[in-house]
Amino acid sequence: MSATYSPAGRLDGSNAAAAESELLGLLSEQGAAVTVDLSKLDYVSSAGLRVFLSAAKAAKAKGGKLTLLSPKPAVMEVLQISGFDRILDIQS
Amino acid sequence: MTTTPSQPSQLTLAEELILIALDDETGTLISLPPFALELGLASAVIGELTLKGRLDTDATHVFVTSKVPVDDSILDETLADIAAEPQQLPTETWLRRIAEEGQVLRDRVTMRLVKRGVLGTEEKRLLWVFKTRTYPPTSGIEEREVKSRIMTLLNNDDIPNPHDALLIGLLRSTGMFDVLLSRPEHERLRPRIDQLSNLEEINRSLSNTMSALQVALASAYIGPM
Repeated sequence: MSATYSPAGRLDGSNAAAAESELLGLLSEQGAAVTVDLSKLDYVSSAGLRVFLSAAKAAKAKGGKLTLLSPKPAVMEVLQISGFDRILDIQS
Repeated sequence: MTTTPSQPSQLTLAEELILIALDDETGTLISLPPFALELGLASAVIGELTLKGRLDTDATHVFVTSKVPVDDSILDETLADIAAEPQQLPTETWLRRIAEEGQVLRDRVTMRLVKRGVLGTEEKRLLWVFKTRTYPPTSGIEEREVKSRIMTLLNNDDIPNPHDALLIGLLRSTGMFDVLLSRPEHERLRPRIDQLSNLEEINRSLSNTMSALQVALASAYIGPM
């Protein structure tokens, strides 16, 4: 199964739990491939970053794949500063 | 002292930090850089509140996401302080502010571990005169569990959970890895320690605060150049 998840605007403490729940749902099947389209995401906080980490951990446990796609420069900078680009598959 | 069974999985970041900061043999705090433990505990408290969904951080600030208490007096007092501040303050400002009460925080966290039966208390005499209290582990199970968890994570390429990533950052910035690991082992694991620590923004703020403090202390010691 492959699916795309597209957060928009802000991903922070106010909506991180809902985003995590949705992503983990998509990754619940064995071997699921999920793409997170970041092209409409303007801001990500620490709570938002944890959503990606949690999803990547779930994907690894289930033999699936998580790809972050097309982050805007501001979001990409946050991903790079925190070293997520060395742990997660990020494609521009 | 009466002890009750402890549950290692429920230890907070601050409790795990104190547990590792205590020497197993002597029950006293290991030697750490000035203010490292106080700032580490401040970071542990903020980190714990982010794990509980009450605070969030970004590259510059701490902000409140929920004022609902978490039924933990240490965490709830800090949450109330941050919530009462009329404007968002930089993470490093909160670290320094909370660390001002770091010794009180250290004692409160230590006494919690005693109450939970993780640590015992012993009265000793220093130089045959001065009374001092030490906190040896009752069984050492909890400390071994924490160390084992961290060492396993450092020696594989697993993706950490946020709690463990935060703890690794605390151990890095407080200098505890210098005590826990041999020098060659520390050098070998340093890239992985940095990788896991940097995943959490609060760890980077703590590291910056510690670096700035060390520069300030060195300048004060050396004097104006």
